[in-house]
Amino acid sequence: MQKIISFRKFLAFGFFLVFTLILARCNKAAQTVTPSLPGNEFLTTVQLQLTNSADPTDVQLASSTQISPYTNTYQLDSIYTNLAYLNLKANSTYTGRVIILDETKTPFDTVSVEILARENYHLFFFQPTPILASNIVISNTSTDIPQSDWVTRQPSSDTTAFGTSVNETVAASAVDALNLTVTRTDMDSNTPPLQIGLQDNFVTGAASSGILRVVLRHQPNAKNGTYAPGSTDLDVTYAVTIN
Amino acid sequence: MKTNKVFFIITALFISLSVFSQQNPSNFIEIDGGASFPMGNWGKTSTASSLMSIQGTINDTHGYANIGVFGALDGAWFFSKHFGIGGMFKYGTYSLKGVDSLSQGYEESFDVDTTRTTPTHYTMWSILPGLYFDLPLAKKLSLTARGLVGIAHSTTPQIVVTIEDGGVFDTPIEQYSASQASFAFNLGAGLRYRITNCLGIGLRADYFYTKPDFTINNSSRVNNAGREVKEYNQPLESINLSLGIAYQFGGKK
Repeated sequence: MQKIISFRKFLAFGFFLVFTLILARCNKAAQTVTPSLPGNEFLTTVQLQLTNSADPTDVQLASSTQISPYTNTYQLDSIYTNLAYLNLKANSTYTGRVIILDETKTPFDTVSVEILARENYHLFFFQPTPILASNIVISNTSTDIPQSDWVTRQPSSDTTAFGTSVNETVAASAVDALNLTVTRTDMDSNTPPLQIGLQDNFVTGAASSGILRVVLRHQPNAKNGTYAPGSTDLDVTYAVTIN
Repeated sequence: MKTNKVFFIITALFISLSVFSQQNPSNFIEIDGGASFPMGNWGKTSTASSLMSIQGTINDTHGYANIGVFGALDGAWFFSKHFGIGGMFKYGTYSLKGVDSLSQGYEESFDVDTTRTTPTHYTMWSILPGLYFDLPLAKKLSLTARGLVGIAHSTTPQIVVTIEDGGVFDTPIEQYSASQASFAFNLGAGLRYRITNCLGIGLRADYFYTKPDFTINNSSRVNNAGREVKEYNQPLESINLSLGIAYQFGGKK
């Protein structure tokens, strides 16, 4: 009898020890937070280089930059738009590419090469305005930006080249619309592949004018062709004239 | 010739030690607890740079298993002077090490501002019957070796990675926990010291091996970038050091 009681005590004591040991390890899972890494590049300059498919000598280069042309230094709160315009021929097709530079570095860094390397979670949007409401297409292959994300409330002093307001508007009629359509032509390596927008086609219609807003969305593990996921890496506006 | 010498030495050792064991060793039940040291790829970690993948996902053979703890209940019944049959039930957990590298790998792969990585633990239980061998070394001290074969049930950790960029939190990446039963074996030896007629303490070292083939599900893997482990079939092997308290029945006094 004495032995049985001792055995029970032994078991109770042993289990107490073992489970105390294990429970001590079964605390809530620890969380590791990894903050930003140093050395991220600046996106100081965004260029659109368009080449007329019917006339290779017709090359348009529009540039929006945060590098001051006066001091040649990066200005965090300024955008220099004196070269941010496109003069396109009517009823033409242009092949275009987006070039992004970090001109704070010497020699400057072509960031668009890195964007291409990270194509699986980057997506460009191109919104020409004024645009007819019936021509706005929101899908996972459209370059249009949902109206809820349009720039609409900037002060009238906030302009691009030639004093054009950066505010996006719906055209009241076809006569008021900017006759420009942009489609992406490059694909990433997602499964299934999604568009990127570093390479594009710009198709013009009748003579008109307006603005073209270019937005690069960074959609880490969220890119699905639409505008909504992720955050904005760059957002620039160009003046457009079609003659 | 050399083989003969070894044979004679071992035989002489057995004969000399057997003077302490004129009857069967005590049967026992022992409760152990200790530390488990993962070996091989299971216990290794990858560097952040090796986990960076911006075009396509990459597999990762490393298991990130940290030194674990375990508890075990084992016992044996001796049917001869040296040999017995017995078994062990063991339960252990292993936290993850190198989570910083894991987290930074995701951060660099997706080029984001911040990642938060939250892993749970590996857990493993096993039932291993087998053969015990007892060799008395002194009046109260004996060497116990064992070879056990059975099954292990292992569970991999769940790893949740939250990525934030530009103040926006995207859908977390989740590597789900997976479980698998597999063949396992355990080889080990230890010393047991009898402190009273029925109580003894044991100190032992064991090698444990199992090789489950896990199929791992992942959610929210929208884009092809970063680490993505869909299966893990590396051996889960470890060296286990334990301290135990044994209750001994009958046998020699």
